[in-house]
Amino acid sequence: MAARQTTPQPASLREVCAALWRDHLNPSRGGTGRETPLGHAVHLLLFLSAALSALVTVGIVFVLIFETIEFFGVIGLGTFFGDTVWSPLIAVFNETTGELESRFGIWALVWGTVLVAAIAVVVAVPVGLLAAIFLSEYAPPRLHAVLKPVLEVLAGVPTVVYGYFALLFVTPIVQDLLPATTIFNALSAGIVMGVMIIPMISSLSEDAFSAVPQSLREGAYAMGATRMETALRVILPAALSGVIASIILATSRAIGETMIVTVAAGQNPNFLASPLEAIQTMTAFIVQVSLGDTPAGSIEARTLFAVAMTLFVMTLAMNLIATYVRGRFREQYE
Amino acid sequence: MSGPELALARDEAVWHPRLRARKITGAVFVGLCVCSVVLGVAMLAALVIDVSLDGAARLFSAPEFSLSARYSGYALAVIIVLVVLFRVLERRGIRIDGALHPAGLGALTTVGLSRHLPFALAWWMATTIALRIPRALGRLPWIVLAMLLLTWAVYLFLDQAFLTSFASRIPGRAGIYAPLIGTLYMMVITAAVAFPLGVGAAIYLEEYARQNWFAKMIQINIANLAGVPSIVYGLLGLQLFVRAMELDRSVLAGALTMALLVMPIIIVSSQEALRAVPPSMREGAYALGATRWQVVWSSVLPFAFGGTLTGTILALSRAIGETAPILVIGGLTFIAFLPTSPTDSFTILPIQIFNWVSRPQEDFQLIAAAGIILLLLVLLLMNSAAIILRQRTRVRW
Repeated sequence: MAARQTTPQPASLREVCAALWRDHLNPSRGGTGRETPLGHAVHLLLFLSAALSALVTVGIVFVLIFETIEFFGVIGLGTFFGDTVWSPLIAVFNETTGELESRFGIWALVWGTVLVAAIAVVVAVPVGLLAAIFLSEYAPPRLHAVLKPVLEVLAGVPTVVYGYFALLFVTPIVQDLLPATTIFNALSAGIVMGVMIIPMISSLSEDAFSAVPQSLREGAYAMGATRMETALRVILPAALSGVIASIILATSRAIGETMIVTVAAGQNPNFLASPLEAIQTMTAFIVQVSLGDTPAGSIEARTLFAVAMTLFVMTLAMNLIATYVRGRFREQYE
Repeated sequence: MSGPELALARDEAVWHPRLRARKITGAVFVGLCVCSVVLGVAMLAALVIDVSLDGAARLFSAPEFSLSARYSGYALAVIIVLVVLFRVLERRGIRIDGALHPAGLGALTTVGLSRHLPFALAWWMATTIALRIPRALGRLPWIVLAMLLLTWAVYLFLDQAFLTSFASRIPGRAGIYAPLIGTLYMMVITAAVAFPLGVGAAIYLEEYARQNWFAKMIQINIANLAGVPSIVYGLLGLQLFVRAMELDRSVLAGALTMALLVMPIIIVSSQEALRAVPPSMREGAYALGATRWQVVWSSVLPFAFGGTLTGTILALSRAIGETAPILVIGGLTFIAFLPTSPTDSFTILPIQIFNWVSRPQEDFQLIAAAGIILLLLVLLLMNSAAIILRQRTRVRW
C-alpha cells in the first residue's frame, strides 16, 4: 500500500513509454524477468485493453466538449445559464424581447432533475439507512443471507420496468391521495427512483457498518448502551464517511437515471414546478431529442450535447466527491 | 389488581423509568428498521405482482396438449422416475456410469421423436450430468434440474403467437419476435467484445501493472466510468460508432456501445476474482521457471475463470435491461424483420417495452407488461446461472 502514496508526476510521452517498458521488462511480482515473444505480445494486448478504458473517458469528454463548444459558439453561456425557460425545439414568447424565439435556459431542466433526485433521496435515505442498520446490527446471519440479495434485486430491475411501475401503479395511488396530481408528475417518478436507489444506499452503508471493528460494539455494550444507542451513537459516526459516500453515489445515480423520468415524469421543462406537476429532466430531454428527427449538426441536435455535458459534469463531480469523502474522512481502525 | 396492571406494576418495579424509556425507544427503533426492510421487499413484491396481473394474460396461454407436448410430458415423468431410481441405487452402492446413460437414452428416444428436439437434448444432457456429477456437489444437480424443469414449464405455457409475431399497430397482433432476437443478437456481440477486453484489462491491472501513476489513473478512471450515466454512453456511441465509423443505427453500433458500458463492471469483478487467487499459486509457478504469461495462463486464470464468468453474466444482465443508450443511438421501435447481419437495424426488448408503455391505449400497456415479464424471466435465468456458476466454481483455499 505504501507504493500508492507516492505518485510520480507524468512527464513527456517519451518518458512515459520508457517507464512502461522498464516496468514490462522488470516484473514486479517476483518473476524471473525472462519472457518469450508471445509473452511480449500478450503483455502489449493486455496493456491495450486496459488503456482502452482510459480512451473511453477521453472519447466521452472529447465528444461532449467538441459539440458543446460549437453550441456555445451560437448560444452563449449567458443565455444558457441566465434564462429559466427551456424550449429549444419550439419557439415561445419571450417577455423581455417581446418576440417568438427558441429559449435555452438550462435551469428549467436542472430544476426537474434536482427535484426528482431530491424526492428519491428523501425516500431512499431513511429507508436505506434503517435497512442497513437492521442488516448489519440486528439481523441474524441466516435472515441476512436471504434479505441482502432480495434487496439487491431492486437495483437489478431494468429501469424501463420501474417506469412502467411508476406510471401505472404509483401514479394512480398518488392521484387518489393528492387529487391535484397530473398523470405525468415528478412525485411518483421520484418515489420509484427512490426505491431503485435503496439497495445502493443500504448495501454500501452496510459495508461501512460491517467494517467498524467489533471491539467498538463491545465497548459500547460494556458501558451499558442499548443496541439502538450503539448503532446510532457509535457505529453510525464511525462509519459516517462510507454512509455519506453511499448517499452521494446514490444521488448521482438518480441524477443520471433516464427511463423512469422519461416514462413517468413528462416532458414539460418547467422551472420551479411543484412535485405534483409534469417536469422534464436533462436525461428525458436527451431521449426526447433522440426520438425526434433533428438533423445532425443543427443547433437543436447540439443542445443534446450541451445538456449531456451539464449532466456529465454534475455526476462526475458527485462521484469524485464521494471518492474523496470516503478516502479523506475514513476512521482508521487497526 | 388485574393482569395488565400487575404486569405494569412489575415492570415499573424492575425498570427505572429512564431505563424503560430507553428500552421502549430501542424497540420502536427496531420496529422502524424492520419496517424499512419490509417496505423495500414489499415494493419488489408489488412490482412483480402488478406486472404479472397486467401481463400474464397476454404472455401465457393454456398449452394445447399436442402430441409432442404430451410426449414431452411422458418423457419427463420417465426421466424423473429413472433419476430417482438411479439415485437410490447409487446410495446403495450400485454405481451406474457411462456417457450413454439409460436415463438419458430413454429421454432421447422418447422426446427425440417429437418436435421438442432441443429440449430433448437439454434433458439428456441434464440427466447425464446430474447423474455423473460426484455426490460431493450436494444439491447442485438438483438445482440445475429444477431450473431446466421450470424453463420447460414456462416455455410450454408461453403464448407462441406473442413470441413469434412482429410489432403491429393492432394490440391483439403485436408480438415480440424482433426485439427478442435483436436482444439476443446484440448480447452475443456485446459479450464477444466486452469479455476479452474486460478480462484482459483486469489481468493487466492485477498481474502486470506496477503500482505506478498509470495503473492508479486507470483504476480511478474505471471507478468513475462505472458512475457515468448510461445515456452519456449513448451519445458517445452516437458520435463514435454511428457517425464517425459510419456503422449507422446497426446491431454492431448498439453492441459496441453496450460493450463500452459494461466493460468497467467486468473489469472490477474480474479483478476481484484474480485477487482471490493466493500469491502462493503464482510463486510456485515462478519457482518452476515459468514466464509471467505462463504463470497467468496456467496458474491464475483457471482458478479465477469462474469469477470472471460470473461477473460477465451479471454485467450482461445489466446490459439487457439498459434502454437509454440504445434509444440515443436510435434502435428503431417499429421493426418488422429480423436482423440478419451485424449492420442491420434492430430493436431490443426494453425499447419495445418503452414504446408500448408510452402509447396511450391501455391494450398496449398490457402488452408492455407481458414484455416486462419476459424480460424479468430472462434476467432471473441469467442471475440464477451466475449464482450457480459462482457456487460451482468456488475454490476454497
